[in-house]
Amino acid sequence: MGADKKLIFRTISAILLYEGISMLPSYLLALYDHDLGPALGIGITMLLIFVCGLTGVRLTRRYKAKIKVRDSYFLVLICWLTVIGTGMLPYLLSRIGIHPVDALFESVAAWTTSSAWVLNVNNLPRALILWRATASWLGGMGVILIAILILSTLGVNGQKLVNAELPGPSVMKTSARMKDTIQELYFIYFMLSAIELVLLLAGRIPRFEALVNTMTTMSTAGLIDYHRAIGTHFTPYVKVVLAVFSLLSSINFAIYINLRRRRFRLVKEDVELRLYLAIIAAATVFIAVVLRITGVRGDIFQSAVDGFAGVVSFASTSGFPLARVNGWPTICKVLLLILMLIGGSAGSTAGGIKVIRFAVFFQIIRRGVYKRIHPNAVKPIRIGKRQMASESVSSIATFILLFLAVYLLSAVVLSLQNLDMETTLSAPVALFTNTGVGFGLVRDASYECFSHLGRVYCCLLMMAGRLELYAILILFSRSFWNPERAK
Amino acid sequence: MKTATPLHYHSVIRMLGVLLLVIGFAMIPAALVGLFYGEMREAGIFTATIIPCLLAGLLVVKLFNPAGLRTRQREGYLIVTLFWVVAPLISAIPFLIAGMITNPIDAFFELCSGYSTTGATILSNLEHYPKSLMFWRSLTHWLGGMGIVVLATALLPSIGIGGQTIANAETPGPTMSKLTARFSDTSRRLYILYAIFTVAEAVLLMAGGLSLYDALIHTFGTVGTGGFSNYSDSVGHFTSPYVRWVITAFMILCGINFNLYFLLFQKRFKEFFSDEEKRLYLGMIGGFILLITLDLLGQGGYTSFVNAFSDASFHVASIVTTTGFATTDYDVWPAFCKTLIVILTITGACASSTGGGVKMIRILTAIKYVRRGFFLKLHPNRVINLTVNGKAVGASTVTNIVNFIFFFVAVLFAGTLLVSVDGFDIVTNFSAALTCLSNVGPGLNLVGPSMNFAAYSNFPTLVLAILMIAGRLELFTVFMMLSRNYWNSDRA
Repeated sequence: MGADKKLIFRTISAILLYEGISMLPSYLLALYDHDLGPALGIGITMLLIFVCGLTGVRLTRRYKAKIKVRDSYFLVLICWLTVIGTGMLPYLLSRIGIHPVDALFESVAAWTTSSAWVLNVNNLPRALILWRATASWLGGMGVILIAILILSTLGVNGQKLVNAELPGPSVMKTSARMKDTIQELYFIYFMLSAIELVLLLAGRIPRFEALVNTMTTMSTAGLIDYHRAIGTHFTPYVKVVLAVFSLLSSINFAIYINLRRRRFRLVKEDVELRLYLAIIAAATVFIAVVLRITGVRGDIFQSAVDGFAGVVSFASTSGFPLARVNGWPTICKVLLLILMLIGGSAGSTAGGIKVIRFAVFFQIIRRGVYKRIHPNAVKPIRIGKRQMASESVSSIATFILLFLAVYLLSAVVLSLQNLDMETTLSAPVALFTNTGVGFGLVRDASYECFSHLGRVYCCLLMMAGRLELYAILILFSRSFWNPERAK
Repeated sequence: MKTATPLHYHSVIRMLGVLLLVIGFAMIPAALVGLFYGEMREAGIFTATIIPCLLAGLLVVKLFNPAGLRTRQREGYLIVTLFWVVAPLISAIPFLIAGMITNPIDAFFELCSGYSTTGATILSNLEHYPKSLMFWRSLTHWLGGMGIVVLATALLPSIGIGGQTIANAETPGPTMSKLTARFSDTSRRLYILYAIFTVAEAVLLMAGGLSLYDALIHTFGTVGTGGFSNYSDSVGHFTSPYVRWVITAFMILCGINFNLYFLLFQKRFKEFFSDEEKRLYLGMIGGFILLITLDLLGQGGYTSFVNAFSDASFHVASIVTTTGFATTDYDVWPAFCKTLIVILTITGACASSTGGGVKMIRILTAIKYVRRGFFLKLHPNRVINLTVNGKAVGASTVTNIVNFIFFFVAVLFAGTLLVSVDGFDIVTNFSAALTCLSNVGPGLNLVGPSMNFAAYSNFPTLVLAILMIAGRLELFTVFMMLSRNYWNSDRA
């Protein structure tokens, strides 16, 4: 293995340091609630990782390095494993009888921004819920993004890391200096969260619920139904706010940078954005009409709100655990399933195949038909006015094929649980796209129906989905571990 | 760009005349079955259909004789699509007149299922229907198995269709290797082999105690990889293990690329045994039989290994070859078995066999393509060829295969969405769309092996019928008709 050990050490240390700091609010909440278990659990973890991180950073203070492509994939994976591993400690050390696998599941689900759960929130202390939401919020923009921010201030070139980390085929170079871009992205993320929080508070949502749900919607990690808040407080206004902000965070964040720089033409001509919004609009109208016709919802206004919330829940791969979707007509559910597969935009916090890849998928089919009619025609794939390089097209085609293969394989593995077929076939999609909500037994994102072994596989699937497959699967290839062969 | 030429409608119409002739002749055995079993009314109905068919066919062929006009690929697609839509329409007439099926859309579905060798049915209590009509229903499997156009060129080499280019639109699989210089010779040889399989299986089944009639019905279902039976419990009606194993063996044989058998005749054994597609196909069958047997013993409540093994073998063979026969209701099996069955439904059999689905060769190529993608991601500057059977596969072939798989997925989801208007559960709708698209027949839940498609209303039934034809003609041939580019000769 050719990865640079010092670089890995330094990155992990930096991440631990900041993760430790991010646990502080949860710790304070535990103290405020006089919850001794969580206070102890979070406190010990926080202290431990903070000290480890600080020592590590100090030890490697003078270190500078350039990152190779191969190393970057490995580094990304190591970072995720680090935060997931340390992120599960608060659940375990709180000594409230949580099984290690369940702690792992919650940690993976939080960091990968899936709304899946195995521990009922209503039985959890508030401090741990806040920690889960914090992990989602941080996971949303990618732990690595924070790491780069830190690393780049410390003199490590972060550009390549971002390519492996940020979801989607390409990261627009919106700024010459990576560091500035990331700071700007983070600022936007923070501002959007703040606005959402204010809007939710204005909707008379209790403070705690408003805070955790802001964090989870901004990271497209769904909602946390604490004390049935969804049933009692979620007026149409609140639903729309939550859906709109989930939608906003499933749009390529480069758009916001362009907006801030007043490059409106670029935004207007963004093919992915237009396609994504068109899909959302069309699906919302369709579902609203179906709900109205079949009489699931009384009036057209409520149908539209529910339709919009449902569509965004799946398209942005947030997965609001609103079991009500299960009562919808099948045609709506199939549509939601398709939306979930397509997912959000590249460069956002959403999962799934991604709209831009879906556009290429469609263009490939169209070209296929065209080439049957005119076998000798040369026709490149176009997205908008831009002509795509054949390498990018084949890279996207490979991704989609791999996506399908992993899906089928996962369905086989999860079917060993011997649940009904609706669950067996929809759970892998829900996990793999980091939505969390599926159909059948996983309709409210609860994976309690799976055994501990099954839950471990669910964790792997969520990780694979979040890291866009390659980063994980590449570790299984021989040539990765043996660089000599690759020469 | 070539100069714009309109479609040659003359040759298209002429081919429809040929189709009428083929169907007219093909119905004669069914009429004879009616006479033999004393079903005078049905025999009369068949005669009343045959005579106008033959007369109209002759008339059209005589009137439309576009001398010197060569049929091009472009007309070929239209001809093949029309063949496969018109054939079920005409073949459904006896069922409607006899009142066996009253709804025309249901009848169209049933015959589409027949010609596309799907085996999905809207009928129940199959034992009560006239024998001649049931015979005709199964005979369409046999006609559709190898392809109607191929049959036409085999029987009538002088009808003047372009042969190879057109048959490519009908033959399952990405490539059709040229076995002989003249295409009509190739198609005749294919049909001879097909006939040998048919006779061999029918004889073996009769040796197992089946009547000639039952043996023929199940032979048509097997060699065409269709799956229509004349019993409600399908092959489960025959308790003899011998009969079940004969059918299992012939299903597997008919799922192998027919061109490979010619290698055997030419004593090219090494090429035959080393064929990668066949090895993947047999390897998958072996592996899946093992997994399902183990799961049936573990979770499925089977106590005898022999029973589990024979049921697993039969259903793996039945699904992977897209036949759709059943000896038991696999819908009550554990989820693991059912998920494996879903995967087999997608993969399908080998190219140039009578089976449907995505086809093994495409799966094989896709796997290699993904592996190469990985490698390239790590080593961006390497040049690696994709090889199958030791030969490099051209970039355009790979592109076509990826195109097909994507198209398959897109049509599958679009089909599921359209079929969902009836409000059955997701699994029913998804498996119905999938099973029709891959020409298997039974699906899961409400369309499981012990159920049928009668519950669907008219619109989903029509969608499923189109999916069957589109799946049999490998999508592009049918959906091309929806493209503006196909009809607009200026853009050609």
